[in-house]
Amino acid sequence: MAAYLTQLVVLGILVGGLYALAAFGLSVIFGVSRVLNVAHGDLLLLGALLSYGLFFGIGMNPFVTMLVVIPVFLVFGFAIERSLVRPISNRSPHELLISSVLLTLGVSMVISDISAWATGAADKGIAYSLPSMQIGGLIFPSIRLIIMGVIIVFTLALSFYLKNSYVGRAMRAITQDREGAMIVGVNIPRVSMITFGIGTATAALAGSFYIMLFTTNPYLGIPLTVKYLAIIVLGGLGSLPGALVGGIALGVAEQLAGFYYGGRWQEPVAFILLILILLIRPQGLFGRAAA
Amino acid sequence: MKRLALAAGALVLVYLAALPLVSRNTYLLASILILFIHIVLAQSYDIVGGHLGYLNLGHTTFFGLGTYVFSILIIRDHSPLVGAAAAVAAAILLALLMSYPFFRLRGAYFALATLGVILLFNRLAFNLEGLTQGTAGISLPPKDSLMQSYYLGFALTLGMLATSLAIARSRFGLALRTIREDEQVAETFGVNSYYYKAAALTLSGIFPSLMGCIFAWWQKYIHPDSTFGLEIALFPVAMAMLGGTGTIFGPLVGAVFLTGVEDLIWANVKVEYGKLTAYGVVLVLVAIVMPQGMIRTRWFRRPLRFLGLEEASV
Repeated sequence: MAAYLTQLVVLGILVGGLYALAAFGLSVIFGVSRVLNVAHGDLLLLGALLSYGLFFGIGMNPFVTMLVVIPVFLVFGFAIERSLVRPISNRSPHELLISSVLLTLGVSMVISDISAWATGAADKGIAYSLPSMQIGGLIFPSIRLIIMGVIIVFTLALSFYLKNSYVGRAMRAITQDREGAMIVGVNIPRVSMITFGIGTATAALAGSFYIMLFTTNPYLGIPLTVKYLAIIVLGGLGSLPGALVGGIALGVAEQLAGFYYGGRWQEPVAFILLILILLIRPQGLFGRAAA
Repeated sequence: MKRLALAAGALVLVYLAALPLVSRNTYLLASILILFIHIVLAQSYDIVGGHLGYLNLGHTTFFGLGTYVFSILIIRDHSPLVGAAAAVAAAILLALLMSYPFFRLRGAYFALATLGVILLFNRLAFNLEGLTQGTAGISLPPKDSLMQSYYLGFALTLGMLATSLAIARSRFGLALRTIREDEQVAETFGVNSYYYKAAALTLSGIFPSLMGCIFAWWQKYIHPDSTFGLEIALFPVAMAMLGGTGTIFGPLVGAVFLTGVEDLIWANVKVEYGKLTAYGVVLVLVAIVMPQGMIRTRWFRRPLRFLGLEEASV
């Protein structure tokens, strides 16, 4: 029994890392642009679709698709920010809220619909098999291990970027104190654009992995976004370790719920967890003041 | 000029009230009933979304809750009145339960968290099969109820509009709008924000819940996706924002407009995809160009001012 549980927990951790990646993109966009990107889940699905297309279209190795997905979606993110988010960025907080919800909701709808039209509403997945590894009685699916490995490397790189590069420090500065950042000369619109690109690219990257593990359909976008919000709330805004912990917590909780209560209870776990966290500790594990 | 407006309004009301008695056109009656549902959903959403400034994207949870509580009691042979009373009680309970955890969040967090609520209820409606019969949905005993539902819906809509007006003109509404502008300052003025937020949410939940009962009574069949689905969840929000969030009758304008478009255009254009894209594009355009809504634009303000009804578009 204990071995079984450990197996589930390990699986949960591996999946959780994936969630954490996408959640981090959402968190960083919100911290810098003050826009909660309802379309984030749809961006993930687009990344998944691109990966799918490359795999089935030209037979690219699913892991290699990462090299295409990241730059494409970096640019895509720049474009979205520049064309759609920039015009609303100078409004009062309440108007910005209304505008950003409407805007990203609209974008989400457009993405869902166009993907459904272009590729069909049926579920899609990449069935890419690698032999599993067995370590001391526990089975590790190799795919998940590799994905976890890539995510760890990526997270370390991102963390390094945030700490040491100018843009990274600017991003953190803006998240902590917007006016202060302006005073010291940070070009907020430009950093905002770059952040959106990074956020979109991480979501798409997570998507290209997602489609190796699960199936996707064009209408999963908004529930996914809510899931990532749950992770951010759990971990605390703007905190990279927080997103990681939150993601892993959700991954493990999902696996356990699925095992004890049945597969159809996996999805509501995120929503229930969100409500619980709001009741118990609304600023999250690593968050600062109340959200 | 105000008398002109009131006379025109009275004419409309008489027309709507007499319609079922003189017309055999059930399609028209059904369309208007749907319009009533949309108006109530949009206006009730705006109590919290517009006046209080908290975007409750999960607003239709109250609606779905009403349909299910009502239906579950009906198929267990309770009277519709008991069903409706229970639906209202359930809505009040939900609002109070939601207040504590959710009103601690601000802005976008609140919006997305409430979206989580409707998604949660959607899944619960599917999963709790013993209670809700899951994907099979609940079928109510057949009975021709269009006329009854129409008049009930009409009455509820009038009640909703009167309530919207009352809230906007009252100290209650003033408190809500103060909280929207700056919650901390409101508190220093002695506005107990927690109480007002909870009260606003509860009030906003009662109307959709009753409308849910009427919907179930009319349709005779409910299903997790037709009641807790994501598309209808976002409809009231889109209608309220398109029409003019935070105004007295902005959501009414938005509801009439979108329902009209839905009925006149989409009923005739049969495409499998494209409708969602159109909505999405409209939302994006509204967000960038017209976030204040239709009722605050010149095209509405001038006639309203002429009619002496300018306060409707504040």
